[in-house]
Amino acid sequence: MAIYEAPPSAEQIVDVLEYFLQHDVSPELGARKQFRCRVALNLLGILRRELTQRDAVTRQQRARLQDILGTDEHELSRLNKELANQIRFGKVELDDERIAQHVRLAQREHLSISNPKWLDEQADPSLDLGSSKRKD
Amino acid sequence: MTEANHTSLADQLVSALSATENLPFRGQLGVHNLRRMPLGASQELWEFTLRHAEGESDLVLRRPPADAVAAGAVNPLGIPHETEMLLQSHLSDNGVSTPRVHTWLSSTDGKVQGFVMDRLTGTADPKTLLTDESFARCRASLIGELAREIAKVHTTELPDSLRVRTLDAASLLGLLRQAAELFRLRNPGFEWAFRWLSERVPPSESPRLVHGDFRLSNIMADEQGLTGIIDWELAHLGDPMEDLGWLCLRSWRFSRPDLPAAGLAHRGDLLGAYEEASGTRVVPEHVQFWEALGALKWAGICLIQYGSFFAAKGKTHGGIDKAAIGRRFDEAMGDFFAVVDDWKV
Repeated sequence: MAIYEAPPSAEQIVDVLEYFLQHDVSPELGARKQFRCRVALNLLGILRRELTQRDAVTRQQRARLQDILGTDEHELSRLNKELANQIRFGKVELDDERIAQHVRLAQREHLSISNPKWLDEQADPSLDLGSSKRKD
Repeated sequence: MTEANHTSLADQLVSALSATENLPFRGQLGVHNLRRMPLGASQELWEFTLRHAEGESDLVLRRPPADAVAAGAVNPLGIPHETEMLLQSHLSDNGVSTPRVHTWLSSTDGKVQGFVMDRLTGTADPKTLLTDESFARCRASLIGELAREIAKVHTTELPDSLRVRTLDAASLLGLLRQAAELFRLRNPGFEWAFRWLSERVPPSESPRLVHGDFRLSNIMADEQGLTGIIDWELAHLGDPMEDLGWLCLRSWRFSRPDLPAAGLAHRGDLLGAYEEASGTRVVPEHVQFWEALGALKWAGICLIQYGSFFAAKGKTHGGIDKAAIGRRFDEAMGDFFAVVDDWKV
C-alpha cells in the first residue's frame, strides 16, 4: 500500500475512535452520558460492519433481485423499489419461493450489519421455509 | 433543572393538593424529596414524599416535558394528557390495579399539565424483574397476574364522557402505510410483511379498551408480584389481542428471548391464564397476527423516530439515540419473520 494515498483507512479511523470513546471519554462521564457513550460505540460497530460487509451484502442482494425480476438493472435501490412495488401492488404472489426466501435473507443480511447479536439469539437460525430448500 | 425550579414545582404541588377536596391527606401539607425519576420516555415522572397530618405518603407527578408542551408536540397515537388522567382514574375506581389519581396541575390557560398519583411499590425495570434473585417468586406468578389484570382492562366499560379513539388493525395498517410513504420507504421486506398482514386481518368484534403499550416497562411489580399497570397514554378501543401480542414481542423479552410471554413464560401460559380470567376463547392465529403487526408497528416507530430527526433541518444532541433506534428497524423486521415462521403456543 502506498501510505501517502489516503491514510488512515476508514477502518483505522473507526478503530481509534472506538478506543478513544471507550478508554479516554467514557470513564470521565456520569452514568447518563456513559450510557450515551455506549450507544455511540454501538453505532461505531455498525459503521465498522458497514465498511467491511456492505459491499458483499449489496452484491448478493443485487444478484438475487436481478434473478427474481429478470433484469440486468445494476442499481440496488431501483431493484428494491421495483420488487417493493410488485409486492405492494399484488403483481407477485407472497408465497413465491424466491421472493419469500429473498426478503428473509435480506433481513438477516441487514441484521448482520445492524445487530449481529440479534441473529445469534434467535431461537432457530436456520432459514427453513418448508418445501423451499433453495440455497444461494 | 435548577434549585429554584424545584422549589416552584414543589409549591405548585402543595397548592394543587391543598385545593383539592376529599383527598386522604389532611392538615398542613409539605412536599419533600422531590426528584425526577429515570423513567418515562415521552413523559416526565417526578416522585416525592407528601407530609400530612396522618404521616407521609409517596406520590408521583406525571407530566409532559416542558419542551414538548412549548413545541406543541403531540404523539400521533397518544391520547390527550387530560384524557389519560381521567382514564387512569376511571380504571382505578373500577378495580384495575393502577395508581389512584389525586389531583392535577394546570397551565395558565386551564389545561391539565401533569397529574399526581400514588407511587406504587416495586420497580418498572424489566432487567430487575427478569434477573434479580429477590424477584424469583414474583416471576413465577407474574404472567398469570398480568393476564388477569389486562383481562379486567379489556372488560372495563367507559362512560360516555370518556372518549378514546378506536384503532383497529386496519387503521393501524393505514398509519403504517402513511409513515412508509412519508419517508419514502422502498423495502421489499416491509411490503411483504404489510401484505401478509393485510390478507389476515381478523374479523372485527366490538372494540374493547386496550392498553396499547402493554409490556414490562409499563407495569410495576415488587418481590411479591404485580402492583399495577401504568402509562395509559396509548390506550384506545380496539382488539384485546393487540395487548397480548405486543406483550410477546421479541424486543421486550430482554435477557430471555426464549420465553415469548414477556420473557417470563411461554405463550400458552399467557393465553391459558387470559382465557380463564376473561371467560373468552382465544384464537391463536389472532394472537400471532397481532404479534406480527406489533413487530411491524415497532419497525414503523423506529422509522418515524429516525426519519423525523434526520428530516429536520437543525441537528440537535438527540441524534445518537435516533440513529440507533433507526437501525432497530432491522430487529423489528427480524421479529416479524420469526413470528410468521416460528410462532407456536
